[in-house]
Amino acid sequence: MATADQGPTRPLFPRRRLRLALAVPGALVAALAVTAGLSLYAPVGQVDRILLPVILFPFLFVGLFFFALMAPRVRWVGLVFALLILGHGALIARGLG
Amino acid sequence: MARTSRAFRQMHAIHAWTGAVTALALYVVMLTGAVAVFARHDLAAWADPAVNAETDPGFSAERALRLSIARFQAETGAPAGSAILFFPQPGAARAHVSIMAAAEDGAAGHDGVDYRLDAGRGTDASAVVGRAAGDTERLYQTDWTTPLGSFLVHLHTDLWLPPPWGRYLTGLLGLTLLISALSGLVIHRRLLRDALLLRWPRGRSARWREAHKSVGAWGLLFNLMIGLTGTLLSFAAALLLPIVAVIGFGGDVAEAERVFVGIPPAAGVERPTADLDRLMADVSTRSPGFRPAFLHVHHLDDAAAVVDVTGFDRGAVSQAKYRFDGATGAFRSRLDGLADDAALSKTLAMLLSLHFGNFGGGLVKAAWALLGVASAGLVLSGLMSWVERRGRLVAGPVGSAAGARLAAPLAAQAGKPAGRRAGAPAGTPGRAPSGRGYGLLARLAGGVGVGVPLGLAGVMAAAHPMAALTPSSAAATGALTLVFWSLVALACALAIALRPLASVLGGLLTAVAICLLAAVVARGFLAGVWPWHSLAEARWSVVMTDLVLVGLSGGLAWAGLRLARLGLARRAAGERAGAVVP
Repeated sequence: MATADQGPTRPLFPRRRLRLALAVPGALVAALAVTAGLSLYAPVGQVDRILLPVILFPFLFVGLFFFALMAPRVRWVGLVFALLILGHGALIARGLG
Repeated sequence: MARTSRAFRQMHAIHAWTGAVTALALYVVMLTGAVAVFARHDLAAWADPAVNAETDPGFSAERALRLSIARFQAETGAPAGSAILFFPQPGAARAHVSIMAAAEDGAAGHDGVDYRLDAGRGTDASAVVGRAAGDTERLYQTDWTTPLGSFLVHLHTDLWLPPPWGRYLTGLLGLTLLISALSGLVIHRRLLRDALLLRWPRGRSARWREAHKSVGAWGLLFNLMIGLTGTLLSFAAALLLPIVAVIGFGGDVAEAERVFVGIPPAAGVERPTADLDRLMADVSTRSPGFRPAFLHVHHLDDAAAVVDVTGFDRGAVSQAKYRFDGATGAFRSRLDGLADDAALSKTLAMLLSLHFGNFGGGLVKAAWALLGVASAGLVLSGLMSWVERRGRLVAGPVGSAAGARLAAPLAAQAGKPAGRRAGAPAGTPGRAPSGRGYGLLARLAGGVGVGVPLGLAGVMAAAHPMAALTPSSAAATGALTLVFWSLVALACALAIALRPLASVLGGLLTAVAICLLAAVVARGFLAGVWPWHSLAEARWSVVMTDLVLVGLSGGLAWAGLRLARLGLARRAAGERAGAVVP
């Protein structure tokens, strides 16, 4: 992305390709994992337990997208995404099993 | 301070690149959405003169349902499990009855037949004017209104890509619209000033930028709402609801459906469902001024049958549902949302109404259409502003041979090809588009920018000839799809190949004007219904459609001819001065 104006030492988006991979497919997978997992623990009624995650999905994706691109260190992004995906993945596996 | 400035620049880059990457697809979806808000009723009445304006007083929900069920059973031999009746709306007396076959486990089936009824003829056998068969997704795609309406709705909702990929793509476009609107809100710190001041600066790039900022400021809330609701509409049914329902209910899909829709399984004991006309009268008594949208009979003629009547209470934005016991006809409850009176359920139902502007009548729809056109312009002006700026940084005015000539010696001096990234340090390999590349992108944007209106106008002009030529509505819809994409491709090819660009775009705009006028004339000749006939019959939505088409045609012809002349004059002036005008 636009690294041009920042000089060679400090690009605007360090590790651009990794960030892009995290911001689009990564954020999509993480948002889907949280959306799916939320239906297991959201403190609302049965119908809203389906609807709350669905309504939150766009907000989750957009938040994770901005976080992936703008976080000072890309390893924080990786850590947060891994925690979200693995944590909710485990919850889902437990719920279905 | 440094961090704030850096975050601001990052946000600016995100806004620019997100818009640049998705602009053309988003433009198609937004512009067709602006027309599609009229597709189901107003354009249906315009496109099919056989549709009566007013519903026959003798139209009966009960008889429409029983007539369709009898046809369904005669055609398929399968028992009917559930039925949905879509009521005719003011201005277009078109009704639909979708009959779904019963599933073996007593749950709701997903395969069936949709019958189109002309409610202006009442509900005898002649009222059935068309049918489509398939699963629910196929029925949704096939023919809910007319070939024209079906084409427009599906171009907007899935770009005519195969399910579920089209929905996924439009869902992603909705997410990028949200990202663009939010990042735009952050980077345009003088939002109120931009909204209230309309400046007309010198220079093409500055003008694109000013137009982008003004329209963006005015349409910010609309774009946030459209982005959010569009994402939900695209992703919810195709991806999110099934995933969440399955996981939230431990893999028990039937139980998830039961809880979500709030309907228990069939009892398996035959019992005739109550008279639907009596239930409709009951709803009218409970909610004077109620405007029914559709009626859903779950477990038809079963002891556990449930009837939901969904529509708008007087002055309401979101739909309400009146639920009856199907076997006895006793009123059970009034529901605000999908299954119960939960706040989120109601919110979701309201969001869906907001997306299409299907509340508050014609004025709201007109406002939605205008905002949709403005938002499409916003997307295009953003792309053009980006192209102009990037192209100028690389090689002077986009696509200009003069700019390319200027860039070449500079690039040679640096020992790099002319297309290296603007401002990148010497030695950085050039991977960004060259000045010529940006010129091509500008031409492509111009081609799509005028090609989509040309495609839509061409489809309007072709609607009546296609209906006359092909008896099958599916074939007519396919032909309209071909007409649309052919015209878009032709416009892009002409914009890329011919010079000067302004004259090409002017010529294409004039072609749009001709197609719009041709649409009114074709309707008059082929259907025998001219605007004055519609006026005499007080078919206001048809009269308005004709007026808008003729008015737009005049305005676009004037603008197109002016633009064409301007392009030729610029080229002549440029040739005299020894410069090359793109």
